[in-house]
Amino acid sequence: MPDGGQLEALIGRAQQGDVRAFEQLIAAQLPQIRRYALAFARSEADAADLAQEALVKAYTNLRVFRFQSAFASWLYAIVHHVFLDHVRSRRGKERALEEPLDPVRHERGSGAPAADEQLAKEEERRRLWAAIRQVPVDLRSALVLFDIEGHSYDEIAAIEGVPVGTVKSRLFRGREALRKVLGQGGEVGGTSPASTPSQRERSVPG
Amino acid sequence: MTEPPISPEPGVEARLRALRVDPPEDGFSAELHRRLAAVGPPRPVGLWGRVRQGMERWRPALWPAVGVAAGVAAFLVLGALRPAVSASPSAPVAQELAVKVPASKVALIRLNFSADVAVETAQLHVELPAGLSFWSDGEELAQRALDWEQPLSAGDNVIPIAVRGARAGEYRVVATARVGEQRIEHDVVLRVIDG
Repeated sequence: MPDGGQLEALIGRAQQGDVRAFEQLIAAQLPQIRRYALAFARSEADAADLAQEALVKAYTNLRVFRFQSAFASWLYAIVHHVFLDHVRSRRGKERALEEPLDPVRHERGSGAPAADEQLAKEEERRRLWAAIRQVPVDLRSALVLFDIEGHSYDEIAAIEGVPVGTVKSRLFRGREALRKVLGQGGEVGGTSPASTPSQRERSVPG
Repeated sequence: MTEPPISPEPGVEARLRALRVDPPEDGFSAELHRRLAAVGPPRPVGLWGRVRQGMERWRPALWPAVGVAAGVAAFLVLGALRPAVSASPSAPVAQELAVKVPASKVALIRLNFSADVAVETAQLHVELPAGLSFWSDGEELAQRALDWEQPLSAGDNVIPIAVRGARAGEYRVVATARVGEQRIEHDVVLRVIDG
């Protein structure tokens, strides 16, 4: 992320429609945003699409940014809301319900050893992301932003627009939920009616 | 809400950290560039955006910095997806508070749109009577009404709006929320006094 005057100049150029300037602005955050999207999408392709949708929204709303906060926090807040909207939207719910079990996960879920270490890591990564996606959506955000991305409580509070105490509570509950999912095997797919996004969201206190 | 965060199982914490791996490029940047170029330049900031920007400037030291700013809480209960309320949209209980505000000061009206469930899109409308004006960034706005759309979370959705009264009197601010076919309207009384 550029500093000081350079950052201000880049934002000014991007606000005037300079796409390259915007791309420079977000370059440092791209990997994190793409990873964050994995918590809300059912495949890497969907996550890439969702991350791009969020970044396009940030770009089109860039003139709203007037240095009232750090640019990275502002960017994350927009991305966060796009991701949540996606999960809560009809499209997101339909995708979740239609999501078939990953055939690779199916095969390896039987306990067969991975062919090599790289495949084993990849399988572990998929299984963990799948488990994270089982965590209620509001709790999921705090879990990913804190435990994976290393944001502070204050940063997450700014991104989610909630008090720090709420972030701590959500993190506590998110870890509990993740532990429970992993304890049950962490398998996903075939989402049951009792765990549809809307119902999970309702159980989440502010 | 005060439970201290605890660490996940020792192994899980390390496993989560191991997820911090950069995804493969796979043409992501090129596709993003194409979409950004296709969407055109950033949109101009609308009236509602200006009002929100004004609020952002206040946020760090909201009430103390504004000094005599006054708050009026309007509680609108959206019975979204709740048949009993949708049949009778005027039924929601709303607590109406009248607050005195000196004419020389900006008052902060805090609208609390409370929804039973998350709502993807709600149409919100706030209208001021003659004698009151919206206030943003230290400037009076000419518009008498604000219309915008936004998602609502389950629970409270507090939206601060700054207004200023030109002269003493009792003013009724009308706030409306529409979700699908449901429309709920509520008044907030603001009493502007000399001073």
